Amino acid sequence: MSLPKQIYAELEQIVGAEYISDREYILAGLRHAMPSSPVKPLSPAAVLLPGTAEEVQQIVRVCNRHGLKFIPTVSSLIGFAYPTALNTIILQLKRMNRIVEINRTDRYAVIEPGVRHGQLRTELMKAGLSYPVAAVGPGGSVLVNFACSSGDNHNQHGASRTNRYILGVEWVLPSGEMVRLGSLANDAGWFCADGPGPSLRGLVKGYAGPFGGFGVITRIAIGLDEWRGPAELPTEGRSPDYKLRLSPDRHKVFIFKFPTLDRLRDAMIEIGKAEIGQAVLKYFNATAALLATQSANDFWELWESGLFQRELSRPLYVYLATHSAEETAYEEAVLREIVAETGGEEVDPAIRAIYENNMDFFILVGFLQRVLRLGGAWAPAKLSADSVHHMFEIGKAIPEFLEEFAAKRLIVDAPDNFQIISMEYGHLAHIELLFLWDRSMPAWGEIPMQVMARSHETEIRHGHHGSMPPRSMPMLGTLGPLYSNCHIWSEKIREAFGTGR
Amino acid sequence: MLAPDVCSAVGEELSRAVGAENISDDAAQLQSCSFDYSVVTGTCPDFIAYPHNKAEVREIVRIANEHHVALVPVSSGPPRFHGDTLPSRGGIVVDFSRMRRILKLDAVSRCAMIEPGVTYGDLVPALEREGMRLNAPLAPRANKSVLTSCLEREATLIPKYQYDYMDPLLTVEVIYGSGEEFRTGSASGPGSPETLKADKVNPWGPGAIDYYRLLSAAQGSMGIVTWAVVRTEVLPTVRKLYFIPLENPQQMCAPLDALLRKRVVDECLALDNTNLATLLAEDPSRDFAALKAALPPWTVLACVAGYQRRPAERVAIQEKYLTDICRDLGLRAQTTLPGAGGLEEEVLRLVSGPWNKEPYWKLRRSDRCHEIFFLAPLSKAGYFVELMRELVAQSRCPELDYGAYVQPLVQGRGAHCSFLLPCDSASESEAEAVRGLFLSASQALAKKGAFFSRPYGPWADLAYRDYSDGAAMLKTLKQIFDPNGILNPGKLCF
Ligand SMILES: Cc1cc2nc3c(=O)[nH]c(=O)nc-3n(C[C@H](O)[C@H](O)[C@H](O)COP(=O)(O)OP(=O)(O)OC[C@H]3O[C@@H](n4cnc5c(N)ncnc54)[C@H](O)[C@@H]3O)c2cc1C
Repeated sequence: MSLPKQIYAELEQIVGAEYISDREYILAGLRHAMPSSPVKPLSPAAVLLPGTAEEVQQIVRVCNRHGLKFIPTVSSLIGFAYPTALNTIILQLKRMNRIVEINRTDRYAVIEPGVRHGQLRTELMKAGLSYPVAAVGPGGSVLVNFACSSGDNHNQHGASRTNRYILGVEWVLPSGEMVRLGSLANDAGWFCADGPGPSLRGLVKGYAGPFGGFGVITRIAIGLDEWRGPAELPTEGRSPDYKLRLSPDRHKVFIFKFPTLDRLRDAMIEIGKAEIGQAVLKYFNATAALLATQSANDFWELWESGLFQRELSRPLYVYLATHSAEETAYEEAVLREIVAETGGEEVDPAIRAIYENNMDFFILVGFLQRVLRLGGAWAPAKLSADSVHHMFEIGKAIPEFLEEFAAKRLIVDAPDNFQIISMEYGHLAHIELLFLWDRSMPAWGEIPMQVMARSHETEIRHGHHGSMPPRSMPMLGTLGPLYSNCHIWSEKIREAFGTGR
Repeated sequence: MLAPDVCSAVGEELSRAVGAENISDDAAQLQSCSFDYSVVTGTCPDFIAYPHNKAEVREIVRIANEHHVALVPVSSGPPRFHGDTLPSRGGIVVDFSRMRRILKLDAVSRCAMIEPGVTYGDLVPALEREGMRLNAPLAPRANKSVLTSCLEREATLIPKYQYDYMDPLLTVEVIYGSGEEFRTGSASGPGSPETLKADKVNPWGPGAIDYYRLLSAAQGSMGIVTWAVVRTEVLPTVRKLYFIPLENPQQMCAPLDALLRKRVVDECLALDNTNLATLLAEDPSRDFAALKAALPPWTVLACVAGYQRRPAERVAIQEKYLTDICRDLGLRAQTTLPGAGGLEEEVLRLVSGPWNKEPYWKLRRSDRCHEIFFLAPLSKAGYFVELMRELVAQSRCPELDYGAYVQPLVQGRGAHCSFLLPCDSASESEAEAVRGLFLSASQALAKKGAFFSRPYGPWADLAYRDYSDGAAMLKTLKQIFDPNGILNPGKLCF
């Protein structure tokens, strides 16, 4: 359904005729939600490409005047970027792609929403700086990952989740007002997110972001870490057959396997306490097989060989990135000591070689979209964080609810396809369970809902903090009371400030 | 002051709620709650209540809502410096000194769960016994509440353990001004605190809101926190303290920044000779002046540490980085305190735990003091130190021997800058001049970009004067969490 002419004209006046469209063939492209979603996509009423924050403000005001909803988006990789109601316009922010400032001294970068990981990381490496990149890959928006969506990443053991790195924020509220947060509020620069006084930054993002449901973030500064690699990534070969190896003096990859999850957990905790390592994670094994292969057939061949189930059901991936060969030797010695104590063993060298040859797994995750390739669909059942210890308790309980789905052949039989990533030197960890199912099954749309419901039941039974309260109101209504009534508080806040969606 | 009938009704209900022995209306005690070392003018509360548990806190909040009586939560013992605990219109001071249990010490998940009355004097030794330590501020007073220090985002000494300005606070249980109870982050659920097995160390959420941030630096005006989980760290087995003498404050940024980029040092800060001598003098009235004269104008303190595995090897690697960085910058890193050899152990103690002597170190050279503190990028700290020198020189007390220190924060991406202005109440004119300097310098510094992120007392005006949209949002939140405005009214923009 397209917009009434007069509203279209109002919006056109803001962005110019070139940057607005309600043509059917353009909107058709914005109706494609994720293949994993059984929901029939609705069409947006129009798509706009604003170029500045002021334009965003004006658009939001027009939307408010005419009762339109709006969804800001950049790469639209996730379902939340698509309309769930009629009379919704898409604010495609890809034109707002300026790296406004890279401050080498104070270690921050100011960016607009359209800046992608591939763009920013490349610039930053030249300045000897970096930040933790989510596994979404080089095409994802940096700002969106940091301020609006999730934020877990392979490197968060020696760094953190990206929400920790948000500094100053410029935010167009659902009312169309622009507010500046943190030090920016008092014209003191971009360096701090919190204050003055109670931190309004708390409204921008919690464990997850509001996924476009709470105004539009038009600029943020993110904190930067030192980059311990070269100014340019040394690649050999051509995509998808490229290799990316960094100097073994300072960059080393290890993969160990453990006899039990408890032993693996103990190793992760000890590595954290020793403050060594850049990335420390128990990675997914089916996802690893998808990343290691170039076609669906290759994947099935590898998966059915059983190698990744045998070697990677309880793996510990460790990536060391240091400042000197001496420090690498020290970290390796400590690591080997811990692994020996906890009963770990090296995995098949061919598997380790995959990651030694493609260290981008720990840097930019160049080919993550391969996980979307199977033709079926995947979804996360667990997604949360707490201590390393607690995450492993959750991991151990996964077979309790997942096995029945595999037994009925509703999902791929991959009970170990979960990751636990250590964060902030093991102070906490994140868990994510991915399950894969076949879309040619009858009533396939029910499968994810059933898996998630059983996952929740198991968590409630055990008192496990295995998933943060979901965003959908019906589920929140049921689960919110179990999570300190957070649904009531978030609703009060949304009511007070509006939403936009 | 409350009207007599309200006062007696509140008094009766309070004694039913917490027991008559746990409330006070003793005039001298009430009077002592009405002033502190700040420039804020307070009023006398009508009662002091000493709750022992959450149920009692909930009752107090209910009574306050019913009678529209102000509540001022206080967790630390005196001396107090910011005016945040001074009642603006009487009411009830809720004193948490009797809610002082350490609920959990967890060396595996590295955290401690504490009630509001737990002090640095309580927690630091308890953690040490478990092989842990806290990332704490510089020499906090022993009776300072750990919970409120974290909640108020006080600057801590080990920047590498700070991922943002909220650290080391993790999760909290709070009774909002509305009387409703809430738990943040992974303490939220599922289920009750008794059935929840999580270690409550994930601070974010629940959901898309960081509720703990909304409570931070709120001076108790959003909710009353009844316990908090704070992050702890492994206690080093080997530590080595280095001193980097500096001729001027502009030199501090380069070494601190280079060290923190590499995550080399643990505790680190830069102090001028006034503050360092104040902290180290055995008897300031006797040896402060000589000590100050002997010390370099500024000294960077930087501690390297090894933990439980191969600690000596770790320290050796870190020492090499530290000495190389200093050498490349034309600076010298040494293990003896320049100008005051022999006091090294004392310095290490100073950065490792609370201040245990009397009086508190900020009151060692005078019976009153005012402190100006704010945040800035580390690269601007030197500039602000110089600016403060000019401001003092132009003030009515140009000879004031004020102290300065700079603590890098959050991996060294920011810094806490502090200026301690001593002032003797014996001389009214001096006290007046220093007070004037405190106010005018705060304004001038803010104008130049000093960020008063915790805007106590008169700083609230600096922070919110030109930030009406943010202030309006805060007021909207206040309306949600404390609809009757009972919690510490008159603070911030409320
Ligand atoms: C294969 C795959 C792997 C992934 N792996 C990870 C991972 O490892 N870690 C991780 O953190 N995430 C991951 N994600 C999730 C998500 O895609 C990322 O968080 C990503 O950063 C989102 O960026 P985007 O450019 O794709 O945003 P979009 O898809 O364009 O938007 C994401 C959401 O943010 C909202 N939004 C966009 N712009 C704004 C704005 N300016 N202001 C307010 N709201 C806005 C949108 O409405 C939408 O709801 C993954 C996604 C996929 C498809």
